[in-house]
Amino acid sequence: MGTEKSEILQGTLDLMVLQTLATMGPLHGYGIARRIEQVSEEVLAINQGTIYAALLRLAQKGWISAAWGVSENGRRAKFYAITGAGSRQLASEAENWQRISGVIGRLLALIPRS
Amino acid sequence: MPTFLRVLASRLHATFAGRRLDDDLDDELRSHLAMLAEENRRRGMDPEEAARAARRRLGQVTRIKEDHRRQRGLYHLEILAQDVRYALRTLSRSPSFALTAVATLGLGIGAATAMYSLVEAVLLRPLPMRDAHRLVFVTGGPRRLAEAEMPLSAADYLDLKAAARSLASLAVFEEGSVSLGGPGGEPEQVQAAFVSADFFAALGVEPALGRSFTAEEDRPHSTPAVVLADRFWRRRFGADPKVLGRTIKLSERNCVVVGVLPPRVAYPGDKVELWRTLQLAPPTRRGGYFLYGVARLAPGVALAGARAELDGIDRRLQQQFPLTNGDFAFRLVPLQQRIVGGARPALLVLSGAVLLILLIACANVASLHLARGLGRRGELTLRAALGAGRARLLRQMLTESTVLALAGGALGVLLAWAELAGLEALAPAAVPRLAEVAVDPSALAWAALLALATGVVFGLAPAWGELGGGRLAGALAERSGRFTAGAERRRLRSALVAAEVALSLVLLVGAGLLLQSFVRLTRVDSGARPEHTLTAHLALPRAKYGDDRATLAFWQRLLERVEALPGVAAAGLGISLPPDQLEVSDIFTVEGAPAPPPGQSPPMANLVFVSPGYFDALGVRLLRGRRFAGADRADAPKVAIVSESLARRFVAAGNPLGKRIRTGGPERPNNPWMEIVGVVGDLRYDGLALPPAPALFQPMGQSLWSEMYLVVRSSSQPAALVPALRRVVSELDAGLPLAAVRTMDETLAASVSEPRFRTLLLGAFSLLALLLATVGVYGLVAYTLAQRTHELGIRVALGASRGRVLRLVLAGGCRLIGVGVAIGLLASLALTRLASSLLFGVAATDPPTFLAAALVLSLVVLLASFVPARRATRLDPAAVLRSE
Repeated sequence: MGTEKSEILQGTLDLMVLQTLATMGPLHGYGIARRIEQVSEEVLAINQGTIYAALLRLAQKGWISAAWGVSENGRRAKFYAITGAGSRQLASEAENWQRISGVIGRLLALIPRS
Repeated sequence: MPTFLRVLASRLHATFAGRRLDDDLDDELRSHLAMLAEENRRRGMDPEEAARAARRRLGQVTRIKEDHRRQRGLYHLEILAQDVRYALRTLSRSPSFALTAVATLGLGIGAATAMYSLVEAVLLRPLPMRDAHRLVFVTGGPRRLAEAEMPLSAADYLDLKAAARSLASLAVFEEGSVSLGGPGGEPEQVQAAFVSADFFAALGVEPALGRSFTAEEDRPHSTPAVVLADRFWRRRFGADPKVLGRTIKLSERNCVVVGVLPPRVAYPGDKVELWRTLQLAPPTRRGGYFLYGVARLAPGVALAGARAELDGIDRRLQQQFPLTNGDFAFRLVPLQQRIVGGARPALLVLSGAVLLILLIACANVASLHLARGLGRRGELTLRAALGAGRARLLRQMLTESTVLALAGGALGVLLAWAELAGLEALAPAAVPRLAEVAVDPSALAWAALLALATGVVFGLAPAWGELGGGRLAGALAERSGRFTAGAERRRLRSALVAAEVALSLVLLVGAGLLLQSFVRLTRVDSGARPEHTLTAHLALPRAKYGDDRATLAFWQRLLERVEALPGVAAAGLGISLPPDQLEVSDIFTVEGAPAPPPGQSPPMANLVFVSPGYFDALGVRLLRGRRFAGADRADAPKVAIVSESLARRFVAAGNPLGKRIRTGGPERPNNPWMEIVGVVGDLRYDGLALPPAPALFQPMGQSLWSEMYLVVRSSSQPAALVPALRRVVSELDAGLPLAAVRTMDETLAASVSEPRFRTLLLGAFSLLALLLATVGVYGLVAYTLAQRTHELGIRVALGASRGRVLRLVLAGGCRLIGVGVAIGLLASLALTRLASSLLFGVAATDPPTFLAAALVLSLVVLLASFVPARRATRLDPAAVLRSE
């Protein structure tokens, strides 16, 4: 394959899941995985299964909630939704992320290219 | 709720909801796969291809589930539970191994814990008194005999109390019994201590109820005060707190109850039921030795300092009163040592014995583990080859041995608890402080720790050896059984079993020596014929029988009535009773005998005042002269009967009859001379273990005493006489208790109860050791055989006879036993002398005992190896070779 696919950090995946749920509303695991792939324009190829560990972590912290429902195609699926605590967490994480990515961007700009 | 708590709660919940959550995740993944496949189909894949691509996209489902599980619950706990479940399953597949290991550990831990709990409570724990280590016991004795601890006289006590600066408080007491009449039950004799007013203050003991004594209550002729023991208060007064201030009648004298002691606090002994003020009268002479002292060392004074001060006081009294104190010295001993010192040697020997048992048990468990490890090397290497991590396998082994050790420990606690209850029931009165005994947590912890360590170390050894780097291939090859495996480990195991044999031999020899001593002790002749003899104790209260005439009249009426009872062959009264109820001893002088050299005391004799029938009732032989008669009254010429050894050692050659003898030393020149009218056989009054001391008997009519033992010889069953005796006594005096009613056989048995206790205990320990060693040897031989089945099969196939196979198999066991026995004999030689103070009439290195113990042990363990060896001779070579 031409382009290297990036390894994603655990925390990053959690952040992406939260952001997805915040923008898209309640969604099932497949939907979340698809959405992340689309947004990343297939740069971030994940084993879609890894999404479930992230969902569990977030549920344990009380940042998302889960309930069984029916999908748009009439299929039984588990839907996840962001909670109030999750939204607050997302806001602070996003700010944090932007600050750090800004720092890293500036840092990388200083490195002379060989 | 903080986030980490929320996570913990969720994980805890998941731990218990595991199965439901698994199903939930399965459903979710299935629906995910279905959606992926649908998308693929929409893109134009055929259904089969679509499903395959969907699975690729999702990733490995088992891995997702495993990750999920790890994230979800308490992962380590679940793995532990899994390990434990697996360990239990594995162990239940080899129940004989598991049961043997658990039983061995349990027996070892149980015995050790029980024994150390006993030792801790009796020997080591401080007495239940304030600053108990500052308390000393005060006695006196001849300066020459540093060991003698005899009571003090009232005069010596008062002089010491006035002079000693190093003793902060000096209290005295005398033990005795009083009869208790009045409400609350039948008249009974109760054990009492008569104590000076400051007794409890000196000990540092506060009554739990009421108060201690006042000085006024200790003054002669005032109303005596009484403090009750907790147990007695519950038994006789139903734990009624209103007992305080009540007047009770003790030996016909009114006393007032002022306090109740806390439970388990009893000095001078567990048997004491009440303490009464002593009311010591000002002494009229220096003699009369009946008081024991307890004192508290003054602040900043060491025991040696106090002893030095007492030496000075001794010297001053020596010059002041050369007649009585010329050879007298005060003695100080730490109170704890005085109370438990007698039980110390036996308890130390017994704890040494349980230590050996614990070692044997550990060796047994270690050897079991080694054997099992050898048998499991196949399983282990296979699992390692299939990819089980070394750490995982080690953890599994560790779990197994820990499960075993914990089960053994649990069994040990139960056994320790039961054994302590048994010990308390079995232990004689001679073991002090029994009331304080309970399972000691620290003893239990140490024993369990030792067992756990043994289990872990030897349980891991096989896994460690097997999984060592590079051994895998070799182990797999060995697994086929055609190599003799683990020679090194077998040597270690043989050494362990030989050590077990040696240790058990030490215990067997010790038990044999104690048993010999005990048998010899019970064969000692007390001087009395014990069969058909009943004894009882009577104490006439001074308040009611004030003068000699009333006392003598009562004793004579009692004897008349008892002798008239049907079935009574003889009846008598005496103040002392063989084998160990000695009341009085005194110095004596034989007329015409040379005076003792200066600085030396005159000879001592047991002084026994008796009725004429005493000798016949006890079955004592009259060797010369006559018995006492009713005519030997106060106004008749004074007479005496002496024992054989007194006559032989102290009366100048010739006929002792007609010679004159006198009690008391130069201090009492007014004691009358008595004519010796008879010689009787020796009687032991100081216990069966000591040679009989000289005895001097005086007729009751000339030397009256208000407390007597009644001795009745019956023509049939002595116990059948008891109701009639009680009736006779209550008809004569309804308020007088008949105490300590026992047959002479019972009295003799009770006098050796302490040696019996330790003999039984050490005997039980040595049997336990023998059992463990037998299990060890059996296991080793059986296991070695199982390892050599192939080789033996070939030998039989090649024509080896049964006898030859048997010899071959037994040879290894015999070598082992021989080495163990040799080491055991040497160890016994070194160790039994530590027990020599417990032996009676047998040397610590008694060759027959050593031989017998070695023989018994060898036979039993040989038998243990013979059983599996016989199985080897029945091997069917064809079957053995086919099984390869």
